[in-house]
Amino acid sequence: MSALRQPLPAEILALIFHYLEQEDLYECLLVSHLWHTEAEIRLYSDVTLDALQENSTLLVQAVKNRKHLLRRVEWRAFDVGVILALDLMDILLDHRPPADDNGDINTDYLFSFIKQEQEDYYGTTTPAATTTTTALSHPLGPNRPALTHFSYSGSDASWRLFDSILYELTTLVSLDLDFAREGWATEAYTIDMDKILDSFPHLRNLSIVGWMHKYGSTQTTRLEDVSHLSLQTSDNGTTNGSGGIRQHRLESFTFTSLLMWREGSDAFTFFSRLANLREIVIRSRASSIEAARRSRPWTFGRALKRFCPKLESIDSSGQVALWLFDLPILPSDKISHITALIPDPSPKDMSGVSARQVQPATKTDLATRLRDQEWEELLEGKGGVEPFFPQLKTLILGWDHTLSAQDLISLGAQPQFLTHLEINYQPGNPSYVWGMHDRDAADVDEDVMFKPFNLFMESEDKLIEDRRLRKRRKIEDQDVMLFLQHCSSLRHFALTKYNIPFKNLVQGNDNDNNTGTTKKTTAVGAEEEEEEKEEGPSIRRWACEDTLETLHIGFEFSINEPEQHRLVWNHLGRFKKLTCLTFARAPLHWDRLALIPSVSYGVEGLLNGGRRGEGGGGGSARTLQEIRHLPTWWKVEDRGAMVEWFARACPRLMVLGLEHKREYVDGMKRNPYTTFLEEEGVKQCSILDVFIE
Amino acid sequence: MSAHSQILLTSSEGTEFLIDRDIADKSMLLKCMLEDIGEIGQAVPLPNVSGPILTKVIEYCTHHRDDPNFLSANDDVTADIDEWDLEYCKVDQGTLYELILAANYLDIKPLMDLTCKTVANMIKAKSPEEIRKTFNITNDFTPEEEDQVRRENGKDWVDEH
Repeated sequence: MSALRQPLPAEILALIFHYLEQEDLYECLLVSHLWHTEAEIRLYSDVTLDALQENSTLLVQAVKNRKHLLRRVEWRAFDVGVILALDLMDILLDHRPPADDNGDINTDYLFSFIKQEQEDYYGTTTPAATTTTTALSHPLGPNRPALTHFSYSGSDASWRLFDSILYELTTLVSLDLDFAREGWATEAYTIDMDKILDSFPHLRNLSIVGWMHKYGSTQTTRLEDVSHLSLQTSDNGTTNGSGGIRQHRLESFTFTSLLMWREGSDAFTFFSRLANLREIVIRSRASSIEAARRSRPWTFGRALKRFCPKLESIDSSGQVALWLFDLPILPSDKISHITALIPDPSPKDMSGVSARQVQPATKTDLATRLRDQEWEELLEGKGGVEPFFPQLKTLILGWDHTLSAQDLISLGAQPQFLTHLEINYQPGNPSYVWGMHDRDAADVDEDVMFKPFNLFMESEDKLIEDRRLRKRRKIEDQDVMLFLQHCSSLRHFALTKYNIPFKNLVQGNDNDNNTGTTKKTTAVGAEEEEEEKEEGPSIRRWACEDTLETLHIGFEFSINEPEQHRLVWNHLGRFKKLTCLTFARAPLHWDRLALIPSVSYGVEGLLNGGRRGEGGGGGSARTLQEIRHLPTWWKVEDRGAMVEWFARACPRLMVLGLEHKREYVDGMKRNPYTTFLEEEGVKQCSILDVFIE
Repeated sequence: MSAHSQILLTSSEGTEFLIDRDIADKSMLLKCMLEDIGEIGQAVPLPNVSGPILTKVIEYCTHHRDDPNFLSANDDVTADIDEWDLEYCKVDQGTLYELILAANYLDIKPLMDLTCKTVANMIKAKSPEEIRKTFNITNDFTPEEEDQVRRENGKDWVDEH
């Protein structure tokens, strides 16, 4: 390496400063004039102003002198008080309130905003009537920054004042508002969606979440255009968002479930301006009672299908009723195939019906038959099943999600685009969802809409009626398996916080005490079954063997059944592109175990995917770069050897996380066993990062 | 076009480089260009990149040829640098700067991240004087100007050094 020390060219400085933290940038200011210029641009183009932080006054002062550099501002405030508002106006708009006779800042007109709000609050004027906000009384200054990103988090107190500032920031590309429930929060603020779209023509990313009153829309004149559009789209079956409406360029939109609860036939018409939308993120903190009462999953889904044909990604968390497929209710006269599944108790029909239907009927049996029939229907896309989001590539559903088994299976059957699916296991079970059906459909009586107590009345008639109404049901293990056997485009799959019991992973398991029902679940796609007909259980192959790159999944096994572990290791070995494998946290029961990574439990299946005749190699061991939460706590003494085994088996493995579980010696808790990390073999192995997590 | 097709590049001094298409595709500039106009069978001139630097860039792209996460991997600005990359960056400062410019011009994000991070690491946790020494910079501030800088920036400098 040469000792030559050359000054950095200016053009590179700007590039490098992107990789420096604030602290280092401050030092760079003092290096030279050239460095000062570049560091200053970097420091003051992206500024976080936190009213509660100690140096905020210093920083506010510094920013005031460099407004022209500002591009991104993140403002965190308890409330938009008068003093803060003065700073905001100065910094963001280069605008100072007129001075009074003594040369001091005249705050009177700022107080006029506050006064107006108090009147609203105490009811002297109605909030809805005063839609015109007081305009700023002075023109904006010449050093007004060309802001592209603005984010505000704080309460909605003084929202009139806030409004009058916000809507002046017309150059924004990204706007992020999070209304907190603290300070003088009123939760009375109405976001005007149309005004937002009108005021920010360059906006690409919009996020409005938190505690406010509602999402409003002032412009109703467009309704005619929209209904005209809807006629057009239903005619040719394709969505054409540009029919007479000027399309906004917004690509990403984050909102809360308040937006999805809007009422009326025009609730979602402002989406007709958002034909370029690619991503929606839904954050909800609603209770399930509220969600049950106000959710309109079909109207919402249909609106987005019609207006936002480019939608690729959905990310939701909390109580959000979101259907992905349209499953229209079946008219009573078209359900003969459903009622045919009810075994007739009278013996006179026995000659006429197939042997299958003569089996002694139980409700469970009927439920299983109905489910199998529905599976078949969904996989074939029959019965008017239509995706609300035909271009969907990414679906991420967090806690309390309401993805139904029907939606999941349909996703698997229409896999040409879906590459990324992450779902949480649902212990919370938002049961209201499973009582809902297409309440927007014309042929449904209002009073059958939502009857929570129906859930406990599992009569056969109810089962048939639920099937007719196409009620969603909760995802079960078999649904997940069926999905994975059909979705051929998946690159990333995560089923988090859950361990699949072995019996639900396999087909044709004779040990299963529920033989009758298990047999039936394998009825779909019977041709595959034949080619793999072996003794004992087997795992049906997943359709994504050639494409899957990351997998997050958990298993639950008995320690006494090494063959079960071997089957799963072989299964995991089949993936051709798998780079990252994460196991769910181990099951809680003391007698249940996760997948054991040991040769006696068949871990070498990773090397060749169980294809013994093919001379090894080619298994996912070859592509794996990262394995996390590998369950190693089951046996202490083997760990060092096991890490070395993985190092040898997986030439590209860089990261190996070993799961820590509390260990007991003679009933005493002790620290996780980590000494093996110091073993020579482990330290020398090719894996860069081995750790206990 | 088959996956094995090759591309001819010409460096600033006119040296020709024949590389595989998948290597060229690591550069967003070349990838977009080849997708737009197709492979015309002529050399692609790169007047901003010298021969030795282009050799070095090709070395990097060849090493990371089969990286599945080539574009997504280094989103984390503070992520550690791996061993081969560390060795790769052990060049004189002038070469490093030229690599940054080449990576920027050819739009190879991971190489950009790597080289910039390497230089940024030479700046981190250093005083202005130490930075000047590292990069051979003369201090063109008067003491008064330095004071002004300290005064005018939103940082509490009192605790410093």
